[in-house]
Amino acid sequence: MSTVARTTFTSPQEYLELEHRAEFKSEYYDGQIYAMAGTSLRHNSIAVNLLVELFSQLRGQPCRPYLSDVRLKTRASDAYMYPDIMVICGPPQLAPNEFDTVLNPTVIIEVLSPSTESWDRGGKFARYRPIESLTDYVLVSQDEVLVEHYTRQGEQWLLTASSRPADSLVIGSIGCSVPLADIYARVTFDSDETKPS
Amino acid sequence: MSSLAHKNPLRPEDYLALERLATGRSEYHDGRIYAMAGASRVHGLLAANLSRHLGNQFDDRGCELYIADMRVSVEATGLYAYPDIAIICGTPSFLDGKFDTLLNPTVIIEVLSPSTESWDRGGKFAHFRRIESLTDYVLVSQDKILVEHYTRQGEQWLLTAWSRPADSLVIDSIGCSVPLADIYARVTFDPDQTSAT
Repeated sequence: MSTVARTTFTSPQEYLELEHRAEFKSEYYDGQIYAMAGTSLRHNSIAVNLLVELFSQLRGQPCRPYLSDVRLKTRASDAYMYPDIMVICGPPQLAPNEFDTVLNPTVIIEVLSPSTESWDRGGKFARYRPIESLTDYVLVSQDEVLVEHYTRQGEQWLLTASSRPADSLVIGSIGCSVPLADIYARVTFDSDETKPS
Repeated sequence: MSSLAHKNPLRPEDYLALERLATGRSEYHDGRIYAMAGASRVHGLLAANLSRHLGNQFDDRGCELYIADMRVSVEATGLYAYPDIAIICGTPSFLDGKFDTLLNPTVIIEVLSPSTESWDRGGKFAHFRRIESLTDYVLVSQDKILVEHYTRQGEQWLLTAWSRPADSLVIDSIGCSVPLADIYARVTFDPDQTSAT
């Protein structure tokens, strides 16, 4: 995600019209449009590993995972985002007059990148928190084995951090459990970038 | 925080020896030294407001509060850092008898800056979580009214986010409570830097 110079206020309608014609994805908040960058191989591997595990565990269940091409609208802050992975339970609720914008994720998973880590941990999470359907927010590091899992407790969020391959990411709301060894399967770390957890 | 070029990792004892002679503060982890930048007016106001209101409530309960100049050592991970505010209730214990490197803070408070927000929310918090004495980690935004308060629950951390001036930051472990209106007293936001919560 790179920042476009803040000059004028763009309305949500203008953003959506542009977005429907655009050849690449952009996110939108506070009246500004932010183009999204591509991701690393490692980022993609982790997202695919998680998607495959969740897809397989949710087969035949009312919940299903979606990859990063599905746009999410946060009603409280009028922001539009493309989470790396969303799990939606039951029928997806669509924004009025928008056939391709969903409102009701149960789980959001973001794989952290250096350029967006601050936003994923801070401003983006702050905008996700008011989504009433959201019970779980998961941040997955790509430069070390580390999964930070926030679970809603009323108005508060309980953080569980896991960093051992034998640990599992357990998402009770959708009945899924994925060992970190599977999330990071076939993922290698550049030794120069690897930090202790 | 900028990274100084170090091809070869520096030993912690060498960092400490250098640091005790240095004119500017630097943090240390993973064999590297990171020089610390100065802070903005709002950053200073927030740290001062918090220190005054928290300190006034200590009475004679045996708590000490240090602003910005107390080095904290995380023995489990090898991090040395200078929190914006570190509070210890009980008997402080120090690294090597020089009384300048605290080992057992009870509360750590960081005022977020754009250049260090990602580190404060992510890597640094991961280090601080390994301090057994630590019960509370508080992040204070300087571009809007937002206080994010993590409280230890065994191996997990409960996040409470406050954003209304009438809300209070309540830190049970040290028996203190400060209204956000007092934390943000005299703080004005540069419209260019302000983003909605």
